[in-house]
Amino acid sequence: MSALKAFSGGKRRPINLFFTEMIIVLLFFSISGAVILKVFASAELKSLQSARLERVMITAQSIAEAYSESGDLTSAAKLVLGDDVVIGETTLLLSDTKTEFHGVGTSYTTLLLENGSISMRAQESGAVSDAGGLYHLTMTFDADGEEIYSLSCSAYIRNGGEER
Amino acid sequence: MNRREKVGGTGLGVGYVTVMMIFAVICMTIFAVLSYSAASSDSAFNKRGGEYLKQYYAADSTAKEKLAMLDAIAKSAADSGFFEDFESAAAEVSGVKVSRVRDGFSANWTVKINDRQELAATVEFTADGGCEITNWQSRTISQDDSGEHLNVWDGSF
Repeated sequence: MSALKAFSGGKRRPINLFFTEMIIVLLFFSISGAVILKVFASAELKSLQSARLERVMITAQSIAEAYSESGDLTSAAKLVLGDDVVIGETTLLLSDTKTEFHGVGTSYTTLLLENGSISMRAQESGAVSDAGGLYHLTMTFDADGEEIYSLSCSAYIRNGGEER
Repeated sequence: MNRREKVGGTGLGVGYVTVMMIFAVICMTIFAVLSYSAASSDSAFNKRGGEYLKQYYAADSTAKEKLAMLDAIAKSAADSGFFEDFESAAAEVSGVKVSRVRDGFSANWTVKINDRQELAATVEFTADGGCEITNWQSRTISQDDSGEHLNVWDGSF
């Protein structure tokens, strides 16, 4: 009845209309705000993931370049990440790889980056001939149990320690 | 005091709040979309960079495998005392072109990185067992335009 009065030109009409409008506006604003905040949160998350991927890519490329020169993962990782890098357990599996090269086995190493929030699994394999050794390294970076980036590279080291 | 304030007694007319709310929501939506768009394009750019890195190091690995094979052939040829055999043996490695240089042989090969780029390598092998990389770089795959040129000024009058 009072609502009818309000719309039909009673004395309280503008106040009632104002509060009705306020309620509708607040409702709409809260729904829109929730959606917009969600978009902002997604953008922030995407930005953080992108920045993390960029850091990981730079680390992977730096390790790959250092590894190309030395053929040794530990020294490459220490050169890039510093001497205090946490290098996990290394396991070595022996296997033959190529006909004219003799396999020197495959090793798996785990490195922890950024205070342990990112782990790097490294799989290293190699084959040696009379002339030199060809080594392959595959780096896989994981964060929160999910793979975020992976890079494979190689190094050829001549016998006698000459770097290539 | 205007008529609206007299009637309403609140200082705000009916519809004013709605207009302000619509303006605020539009502004917030624009900022949110711009923010998401910037983050999204940044992420896409990083992913493209990551893909290129993978492609480059895959090509680099393939090129190094060929280098290892050629070096083994060169070592074997040098040890046998017939270094001239290197030319015929190295030419059998797929994609490798061998040419004679002053002190030995020069081998060059390319490995495709992607549709637009390739990795070109040139290595010189000498009879004393030496091996020197003279070129190892990525370059744009040259398009064979065969006679097609841009219609630009050639500098003559």
